Amino acid sequence: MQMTSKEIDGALVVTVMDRRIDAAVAVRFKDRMQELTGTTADRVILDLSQVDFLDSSGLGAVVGSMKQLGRQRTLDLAALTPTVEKVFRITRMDRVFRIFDTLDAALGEAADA
Amino acid sequence: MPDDGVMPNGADIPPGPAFDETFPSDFRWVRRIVQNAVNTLADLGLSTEDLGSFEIVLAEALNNVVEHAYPAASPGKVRLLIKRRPGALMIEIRDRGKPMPQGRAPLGNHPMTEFHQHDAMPEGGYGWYLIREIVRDLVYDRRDDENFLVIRLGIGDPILDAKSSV
Repeated sequence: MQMTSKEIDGALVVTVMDRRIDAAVAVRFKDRMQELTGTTADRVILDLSQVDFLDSSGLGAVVGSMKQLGRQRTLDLAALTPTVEKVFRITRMDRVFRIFDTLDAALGEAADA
Repeated sequence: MPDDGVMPNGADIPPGPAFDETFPSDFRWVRRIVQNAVNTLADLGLSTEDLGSFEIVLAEALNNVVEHAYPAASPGKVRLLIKRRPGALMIEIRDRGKPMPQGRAPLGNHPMTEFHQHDAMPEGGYGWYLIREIVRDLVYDRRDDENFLVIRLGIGDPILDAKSSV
């Protein structure tokens, strides 16, 4: 699972380089999220701009990653491609996560806005 | 079972399956087969919107077989057949694993129906919910120790498209 992270303006941006977050890699995704978010940043932004497809296992892994962060930290999502957006919309997870059209839009928003 | 009868305006659709593959019940194989099937249907001219729905439904249905029909220690074979019909795709999945619970395909209730707290938010159970939200016609049958799941996915219908974008 190819994922990178960097801090921008106090937020930790995690970018997924793989095209798919599916049942074949969901566990590795969640493990990698735990490794990458072991910093003090209160806000994590998951950049999904390169992910074409996410299934229910991938969705579960994103929910699990949010829970791993605990209540004091937030996980926001940015740049969902059409089919990924569809999975979040149909499962109504778009009401659980704050979702931004672009990474820039996510970075322009304060964590507690 | 899929309708193999002659459709009134189906003369221009080739009679054979658009896709027919048998593969091991493994998540990596599911990924490969789903991508192959999407590419095949893209070549047949399906819209991006329909391809997205198809990819979600197919991945969930196949992952379900890998996860629940066969024990992890002894994977079996899965066969996927896709046939094009006027206004629809017939997706047929066959396996020789365990039957579905109570001999029925799950209703696919939303897993959060019973959970509201942040900490209790379920990490699984969204697969059948996704299938049921996208698909109206679905038949499960078991004959001679074989599971048959047949899904009819409407395509190219502006009413369906409008509903799915609500």
